[in-house]
Amino acid sequence: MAKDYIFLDDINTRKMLFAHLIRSSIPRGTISSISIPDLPKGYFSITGNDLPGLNIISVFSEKMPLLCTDTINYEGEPILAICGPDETTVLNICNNVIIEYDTDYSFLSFENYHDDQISGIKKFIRGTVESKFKDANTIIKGNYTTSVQTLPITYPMGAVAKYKNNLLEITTASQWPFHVQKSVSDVCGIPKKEIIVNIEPYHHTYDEKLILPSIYSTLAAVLAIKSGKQVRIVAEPSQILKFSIKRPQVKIHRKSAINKSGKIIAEDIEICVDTGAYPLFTDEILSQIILGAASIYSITNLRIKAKAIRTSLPPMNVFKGCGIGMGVFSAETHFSKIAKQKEMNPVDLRLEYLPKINLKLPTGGILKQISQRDLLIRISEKSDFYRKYSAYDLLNKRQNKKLEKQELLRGIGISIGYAGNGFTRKRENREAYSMEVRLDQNDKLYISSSSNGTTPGNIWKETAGRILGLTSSSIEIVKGNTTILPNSGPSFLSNDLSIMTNLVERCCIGIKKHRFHKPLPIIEKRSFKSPGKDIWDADKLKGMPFNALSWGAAVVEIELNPVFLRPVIKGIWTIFDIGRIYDLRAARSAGEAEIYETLNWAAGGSGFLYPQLSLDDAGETDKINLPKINIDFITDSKRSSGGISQLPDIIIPSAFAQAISQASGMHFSSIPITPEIIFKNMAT
Amino acid sequence: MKIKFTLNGKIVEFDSVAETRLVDLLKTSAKIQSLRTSCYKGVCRGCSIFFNGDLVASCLIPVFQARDAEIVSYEGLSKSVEIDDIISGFEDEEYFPCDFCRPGKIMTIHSILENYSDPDENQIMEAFEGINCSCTDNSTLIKAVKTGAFYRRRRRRARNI
Repeated sequence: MAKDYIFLDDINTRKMLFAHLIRSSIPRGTISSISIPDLPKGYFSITGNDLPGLNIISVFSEKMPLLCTDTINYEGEPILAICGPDETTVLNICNNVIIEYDTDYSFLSFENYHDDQISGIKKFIRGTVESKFKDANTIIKGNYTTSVQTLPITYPMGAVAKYKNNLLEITTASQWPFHVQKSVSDVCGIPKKEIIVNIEPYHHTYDEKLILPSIYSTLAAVLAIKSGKQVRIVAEPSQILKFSIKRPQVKIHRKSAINKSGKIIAEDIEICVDTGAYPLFTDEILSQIILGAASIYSITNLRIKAKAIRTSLPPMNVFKGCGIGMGVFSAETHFSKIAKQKEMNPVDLRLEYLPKINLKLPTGGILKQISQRDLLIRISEKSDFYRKYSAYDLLNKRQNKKLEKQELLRGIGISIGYAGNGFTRKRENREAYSMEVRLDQNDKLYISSSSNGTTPGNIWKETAGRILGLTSSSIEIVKGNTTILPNSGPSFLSNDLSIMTNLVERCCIGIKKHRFHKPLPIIEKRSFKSPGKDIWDADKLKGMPFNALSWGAAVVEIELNPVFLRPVIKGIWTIFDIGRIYDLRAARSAGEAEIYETLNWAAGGSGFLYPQLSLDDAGETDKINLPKINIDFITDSKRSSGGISQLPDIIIPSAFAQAISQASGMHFSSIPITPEIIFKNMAT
Repeated sequence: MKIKFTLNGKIVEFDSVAETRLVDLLKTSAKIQSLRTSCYKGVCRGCSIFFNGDLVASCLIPVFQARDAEIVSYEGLSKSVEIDDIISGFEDEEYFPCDFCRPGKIMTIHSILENYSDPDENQIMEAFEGINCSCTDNSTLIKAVKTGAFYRRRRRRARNI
């Protein structure tokens, strides 16, 4: 049973060496000196100058240094590593290393950025925006921000490396094992074929396992080569929380031109993304935020300019997806603001701009599978949105009286959005998704893919078992390494479920066909390569960017206590159109867990849940408010599945912000929304 | 300093610096692998142990305080019949937390069931405050704990007959 829960920080062998990182204590400046105390025998250090190969970690065309040698660009930037046989001694040495800096106080800010901080620009233009704004009767503006989000929990992060007989063996929990291999090859200057990456299983991921494992693996590899011994480097939880991957801060300024008849004739949108000190995945993040911000509504004239801004914060990039949700937040919240100004119900305004047949994505891709109008109508009927929205509007018009009487304020918000699986970058640059399934002599089935998430693994077992009539115990998901697993590029849970499950199915059907006709073992391999340029032009943002889409709509109803200003969730209604559902219970459970987590972020902590304050006794009650979460699914067995782990993050924040806006009578356009922020807004 | 305490029913002795966190000693010297160090702030409950009968975060206890203490980790609990009630609750409600948070969650549930024979939603959620692993949802967790409580009541009743 103990084997069930071995993680990287549990790997501890007798001759193993332990390494720890020393990071910069200033956000910007240069290193003037490094003073390392006399090291006992068997202990040693490495800096950026000691690396046998390149001192970089690269992602597509972007790169950042592995160990900083001169200029510090953010607080917590790795500078050197200390390694030795006793972990406590290593930590003591780390505490006695003195690094002196020449501090540069001109920190790169996100608020007042200079042109030289812009690390990437992406534009999307449809129609003629300039002239439409000249013709506009009214212009409605809004500024929308989503703040930095840090990991709510830290799973062990690090790597173990061993160098023996010209073979470097790395063990790490990575969503992108072949990136680990490439990075180790670059930094250690040894060919990829001499590097094996063993993949440890991982569980829930916020995409922090895309790049961080490569950083720790390269350090462990360099130290292992230098010492000739097995080396373990595991990040301290506080370091992961402070310096690891975060959701980037995003500011979106939207301007909508409304003509005399009240029609939205054009939208002009400017997006700024804080990428931290080293931008990675910039093109992808900008593309996806543009897709989200462009919304699904038919607005003929649209201009979007997205900029990536370098700042003095730790690198921020992919976090629970590539940012489509931050764009959707601005679009949905702004649409409701327009509805409010036009004194319309937000659902009616949305329906006005949703085509009756064949919805087109802003990039031109045509969707035939479902009607977003139906999705919107269904969610509004289910939540009684029309009645509640009008009733709360009316009630809150007497807000001053309510505040005097200390009556509860109420509000409701609605949002619709979509999630795509994987990257939008050029199809020819995307790795093929591959899967291998082997039926052995003993009727044992082995499923191999570079993905190592536990949820898809269970679904693959169920799928394979159903097709081949095998029990779950006779199916094994191969805990593999880069020599036996196919390179499927970076792994996202949405890909794992939608594309990979389909590949498992195809492999198993292939095995079923040959079973009892061919001798065992039977091996079936299948792969999926994204369609070509005729479907998606990544440079011009034209066509269908994703292999599959999933849709969702949400309504959030809140109650706001006018004294404590702590939002209490009264109800959440969601509809998810996620294609084929393999396990309804698991899908519902995943949806609910994600809704909780998103609300936790949107409300700035767990204030929405623990414990609620009562006006009656003006003190804490022992009542915990567990919001009633209604989850409905639209299923389609012909479409590939996925997206349940992304959709709540995309649709819930805007519905929550709208609900607070209605209850408070103020326009809330940023996430998170804490009682302090509500108070500040209402006080002004 | 030498420190002696009872760990999962056995008397053990370790050599350690007095202010070392108990979780670090248990993980490295005592090889207790179920403990997780996710926050070092006593919030995440990944390092929960029963310390003289109380559920505590072992990251907040300096080693010197453990002298002569009675400590039970998940490894110790999993050898007792008590865990069967919790596992039965998990199985009945199809509640499958991930390997990372499962030991901490089981320890927390055991503590709930020791304090309340029929815990309600509030008591369960209060006990789980701070556990942020999103591998599973709260509704199923509540059902699993309540079902576990049912099995424990039934087993204890049967024992008393």
